[in-house]
Amino acid sequence: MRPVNPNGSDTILAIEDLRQYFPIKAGLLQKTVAHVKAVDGVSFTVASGETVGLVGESGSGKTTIGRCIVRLYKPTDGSIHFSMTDGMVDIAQLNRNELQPIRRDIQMLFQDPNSSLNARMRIGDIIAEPLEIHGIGTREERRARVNKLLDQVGLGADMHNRFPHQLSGGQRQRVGVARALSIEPRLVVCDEPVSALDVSVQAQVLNLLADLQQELGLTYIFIAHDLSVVEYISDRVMVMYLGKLMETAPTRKIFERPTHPYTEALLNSIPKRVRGGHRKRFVLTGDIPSPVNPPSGCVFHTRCQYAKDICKTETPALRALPTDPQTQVACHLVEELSLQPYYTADELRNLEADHV
Amino acid sequence: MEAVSPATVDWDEMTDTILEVENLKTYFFIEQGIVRAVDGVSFTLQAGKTLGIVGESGCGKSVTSRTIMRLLSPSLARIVDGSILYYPVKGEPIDLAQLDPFGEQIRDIRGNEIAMIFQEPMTSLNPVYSVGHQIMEAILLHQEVTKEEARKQAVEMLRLVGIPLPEQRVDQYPHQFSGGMRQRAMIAMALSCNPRILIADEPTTALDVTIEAQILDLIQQIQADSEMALIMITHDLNVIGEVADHVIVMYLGQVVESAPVDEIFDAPKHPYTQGLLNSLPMIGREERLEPITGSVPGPHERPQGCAFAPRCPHVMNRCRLEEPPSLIAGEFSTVACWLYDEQTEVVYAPG
Repeated sequence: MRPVNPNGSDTILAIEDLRQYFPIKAGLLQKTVAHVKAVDGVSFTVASGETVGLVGESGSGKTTIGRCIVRLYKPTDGSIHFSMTDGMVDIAQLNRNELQPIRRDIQMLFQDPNSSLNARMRIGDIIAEPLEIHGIGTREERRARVNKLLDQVGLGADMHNRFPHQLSGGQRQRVGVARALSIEPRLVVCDEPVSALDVSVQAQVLNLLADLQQELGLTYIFIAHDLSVVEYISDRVMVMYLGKLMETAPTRKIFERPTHPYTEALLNSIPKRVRGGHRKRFVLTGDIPSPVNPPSGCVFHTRCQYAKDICKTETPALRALPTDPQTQVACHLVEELSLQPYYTADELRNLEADHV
Repeated sequence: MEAVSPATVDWDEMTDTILEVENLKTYFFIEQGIVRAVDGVSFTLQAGKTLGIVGESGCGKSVTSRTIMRLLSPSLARIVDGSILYYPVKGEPIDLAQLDPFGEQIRDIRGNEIAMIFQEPMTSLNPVYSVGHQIMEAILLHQEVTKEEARKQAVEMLRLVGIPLPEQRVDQYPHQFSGGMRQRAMIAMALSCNPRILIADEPTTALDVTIEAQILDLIQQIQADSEMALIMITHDLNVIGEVADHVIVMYLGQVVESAPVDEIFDAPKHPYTQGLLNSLPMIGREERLEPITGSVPGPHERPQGCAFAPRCPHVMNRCRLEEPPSLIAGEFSTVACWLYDEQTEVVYAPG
């Protein structure tokens, strides 16, 4: 085991003005005619040991950010500083060889365990592969490590010689977790790791991820569209829309006191049981606009019920609330709006009573 | 095929009942053996009400709905027992289980009086026909109208489900629609003949929360306007909590618990229902999740006795030997669990 960062609150990742544009090519000569602005100027930092939840509708750019961090993509612009032993290193523009040592520290857990495991490899070999690539240990040591990992993720050593098709969906996702952790990363980007699983298995994997974090001091970036899952696992939530960060705040505050109209709309959309009849809520109309040609000003203004003239022309900057520096929001109207939380007034009172 | 009329039904008392499924069994006969996909399912559906069917994958939710619609290929799946009584507006009740799946009678009912929305709007829409054409097809099949009138109705339906510029959208193809709009188009198609029963099989699973909210609101609004009965099949208990009046919980082809929605959430009786609720991340709840151990067994690994016994935290000897019957648990609820049998000595207090 490598030593865990002794100071838990150190910054492990600092992203500055990250942009990822994908070219759209057309015509006989495949000329670039436009760009999909998947991520368009996002900045945030992640502290060592915390879990950051990344939420937003499909097309908001959350998966693209994850893939930039593990450098499956080379970002168009911006920096991704990652904390190494000799200080912060910008990994955004490193080449393949330069990235090799950093890949040990940043791993990814994929959504679909059916397509992210090689069907022709045995489970033991799948988990040992990252160790081989990084030249860690002898054959016997690797085997011992794989057995320990299998045990850690709640699978027996008898899984060693099985093939992925012989496993259930939940077991396969556990193999994915074991593979991601085999080389002892410090940061794991989890991209919708439980959304393909049944409720009972989903809960098993969520608990496993939480336990492993405690045990190994991991930092998670947790990408999910299911807000109740994000609420369960995250310390802090970042809300994305059309490639931009709309709001970031500690998890409890997001649900108790949203400050961005888009966050409010997301919370209102969560299906919820309300005794004695239908819940009164407003529903966001229409679909997310095309990231090829995003709206001017605030990208959310076309669907925002509070939008004013300024929202159509000026892009709001992400700024910390003067009353609460932990909350950052990109909205011109934040001072004048009073937004509806996820909870009803009664529920809020009960929660406050619990917290006291 | 003839309609069956049970003499036992008291017509004055049952005016609201629109569908009555009794001990339904659908088995698949495949090379590896018999799969008891639906194994003794019973429920009733009232006009204007919503029945929720929950359970994990492989529990027989979708096969139940496809059996009601008679959509399963007779060479593969057979209804080996039970009845599906549909009560039409006029006349005797019809046992859908007895109808020829390719016959005139079921085709008159299917898509007309009982309609269905599927999970995957992309695979359920035909990519080579325009959306309008596909909605008109349903209208022309079941109503005696001209093509122009059918087209007008199709435009109206698209408008009703909230598709902007329906006059232009009606001529577009499914690939020109976004995921949420495709699902709306599916709903427009399903509702085009004013069905009395709508079966929605995971209608929002592939969609974003914001679109999910739009679709759920739309379905409930239409239901309120038309007294349509709804069967909502989903694995998402939060959706069930929002829309359902009565809930049945299925496990390996059987109904393990059937109760009004408040009882399911406030006082769940079956250990499987309790396990599902304890596995569910609920916003505002701070306790650690307590998942059910293991996973749903495969179709050929069905355990002896109670199917849930190997995963049940309260399992007793009896559970491994005898299959529990559905016991009456309340005025409107049943539970299939030996914990609630008077003969069983250990009494488990839920909560």
